[in-house]
Amino acid sequence: MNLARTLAVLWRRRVLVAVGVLVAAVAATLSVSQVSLAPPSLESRANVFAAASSEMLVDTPDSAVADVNAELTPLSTRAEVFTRFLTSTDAVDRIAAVAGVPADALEARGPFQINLPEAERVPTAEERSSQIIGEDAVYRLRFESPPELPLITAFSQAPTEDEAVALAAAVPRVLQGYVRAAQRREQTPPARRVTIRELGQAEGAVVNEGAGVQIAVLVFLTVLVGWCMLLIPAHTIARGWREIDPEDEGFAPGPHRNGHGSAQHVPPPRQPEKAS
Amino acid sequence: MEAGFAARSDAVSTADAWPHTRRPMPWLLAGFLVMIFLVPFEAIHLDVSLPVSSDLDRFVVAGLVAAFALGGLIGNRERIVRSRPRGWATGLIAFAFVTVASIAVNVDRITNLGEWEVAQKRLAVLAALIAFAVVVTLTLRVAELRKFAVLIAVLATITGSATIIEQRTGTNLFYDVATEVFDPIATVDPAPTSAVGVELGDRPMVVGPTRHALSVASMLGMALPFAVVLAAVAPSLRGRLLWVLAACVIVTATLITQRKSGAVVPAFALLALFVLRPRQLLRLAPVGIVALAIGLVLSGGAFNSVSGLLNSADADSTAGRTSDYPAVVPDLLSNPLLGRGYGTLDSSRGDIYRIFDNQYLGQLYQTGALGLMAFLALIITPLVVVRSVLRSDHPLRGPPALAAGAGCLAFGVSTALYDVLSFLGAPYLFLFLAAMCTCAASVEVLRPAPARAPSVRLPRHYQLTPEGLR
Repeated sequence: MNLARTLAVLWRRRVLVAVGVLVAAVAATLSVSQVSLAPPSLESRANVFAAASSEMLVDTPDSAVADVNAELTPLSTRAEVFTRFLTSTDAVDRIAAVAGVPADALEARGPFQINLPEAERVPTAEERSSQIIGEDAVYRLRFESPPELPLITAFSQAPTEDEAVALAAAVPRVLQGYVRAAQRREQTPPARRVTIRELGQAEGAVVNEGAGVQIAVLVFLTVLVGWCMLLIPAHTIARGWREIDPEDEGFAPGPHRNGHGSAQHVPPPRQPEKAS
Repeated sequence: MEAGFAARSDAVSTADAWPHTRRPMPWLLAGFLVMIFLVPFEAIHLDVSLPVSSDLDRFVVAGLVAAFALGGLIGNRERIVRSRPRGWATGLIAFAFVTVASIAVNVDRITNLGEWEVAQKRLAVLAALIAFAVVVTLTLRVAELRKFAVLIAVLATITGSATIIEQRTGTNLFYDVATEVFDPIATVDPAPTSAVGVELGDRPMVVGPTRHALSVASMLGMALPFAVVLAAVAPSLRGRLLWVLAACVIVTATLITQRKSGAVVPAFALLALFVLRPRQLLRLAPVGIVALAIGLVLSGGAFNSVSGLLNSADADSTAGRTSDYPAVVPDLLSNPLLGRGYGTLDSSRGDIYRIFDNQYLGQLYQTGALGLMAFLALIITPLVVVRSVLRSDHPLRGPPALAAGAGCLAFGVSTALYDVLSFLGAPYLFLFLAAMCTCAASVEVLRPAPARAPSVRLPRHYQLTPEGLR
């Protein structure tokens, strides 16, 4: 069936197509929304989130990065250690408290070794299991520490821009507080202390606005196309059903279906001529 | 009469069949095949900013669909009525619906993890593949299959020859020519070739017109049955020898990629041919052995390539493949039916990203058990559809159906060897072969010519009545 004929069939069945539009609209709504009947409500399943980031420099009190002769490797090593600390439960609780978000809805991950071979980089089954548990968290933190540099970057994600910025901004404060407390507790000499310097203010923005609408449109179109595809064979079956004549099983002359399903006049079979 | 494929009269009309036609669609499809085999289309990004992708193939597919739709709406009514076998689109429809369903049920998690952007891109690729499949299936005619089979075999031979040159010289002709041709309107990525001067233990990267050695090996493996079948049905010894040589060039090109797929995919394709038509194809064995020896000598000994499959880099690859299986278990258990959502595997997320060296496993991970079944249906449907004509003696149906069926089977095998949907050459070729299978099993009838008014002027006393002239 070519395109023009398909469109013609759909036009003849426009009432059913309209029903299909309704069905597709319902499916699209249900795909991105949670419907409640008591009380009647429609809550979006698609999470709109904002992202923000902050960056920290692990440095010495007299700034090792400004000294050409200063060795940065010990600071880079500490940056990696601090990054791992920031994903611990203790650090996550502190960050949540400072940012004013629920600690049980906050998940932190990192650092990721991007330079390792794939076989060592990809998560094992055990690591994936713990990752899956945290996938529902709406507040997320991801930490990165580039190799051989005393830097820590915190990427935050939250439902609103303000919360995302608050989360990203809380990380340097928590880390500074933790390091200072440890230095006081251990009475580290001032010259040997590390300093956490915050590099600029945390900034953020909403990043996936409109994802829910796009997914709803995708579902709508898919369901509608599927509905219309069902209408074409249904139309053919219905037409064939109507054309069945219970008394004449197709042997009499007149309109019959040919081999391609179209009704057209088929001439009566020729009678053999009688020998005179 | 052709060797083993006896000519038989049939109602197939060869009138207006490609290449002796002015219908634009078959020419566009031929152009698309040329693009698949000779143009590194995945590396060509047109200088147009689009929300999803500006790769060359998306524009070409959009052009194909537009031309097809215009032809369907305003073109002349075709003289041939085609009735395609029942259920030919089952796999396509099932796969399309399951992919969308896998996104729909995982909306909250996909949006929460920011995976929609990458899923969107993969869905756009899938839409292009489905549109291409539908257009090809609704366009091809039985009388055109044989010519397209010749085109595929010739293109594969050219690709194979240039791939051998790439391995010998390190010059990727496909990328070099594309850079020259598309320079004003597009950006062409540099060729990933690393054939010359590779370190000991590393495998060379011989990619032909694709982005990866596995992809070119799969494409050539899928095209190999066409050269073999054409050799089997060639009416003359000269023709048979030429097609066997072409097959040897293709096999050599797949082997020099030094990937296991380069040996496994053609082997399965040939095995399928010999299982289906043993007597006809065994006759090619003596010619094939001689041609293979000549091919190996000319290529400088592809046995080195075969032995290269056993080096340490390949052992690492095998270890990587086996580690995929336990690693996906937690995801399978958490989303058994519809997976995590089609296309949500984001390569920029180092924490969860994993390259599955097996597309079936990748489908299971992304679309669950239902998605895997739909994907299997997509691959199996053309084989089921074509089974009635696989052993046909009809010269226009049998040989192309046999070659296309073996090519589809080769795709099914290569799907188990790497993430085949990440490199589009083989999927496009598979969908073309699937359309050939569907077409070979189709029924075609000439539409009766429209009745015309008598052109002679009748005298006035004659009257045209339903009973005739009076």
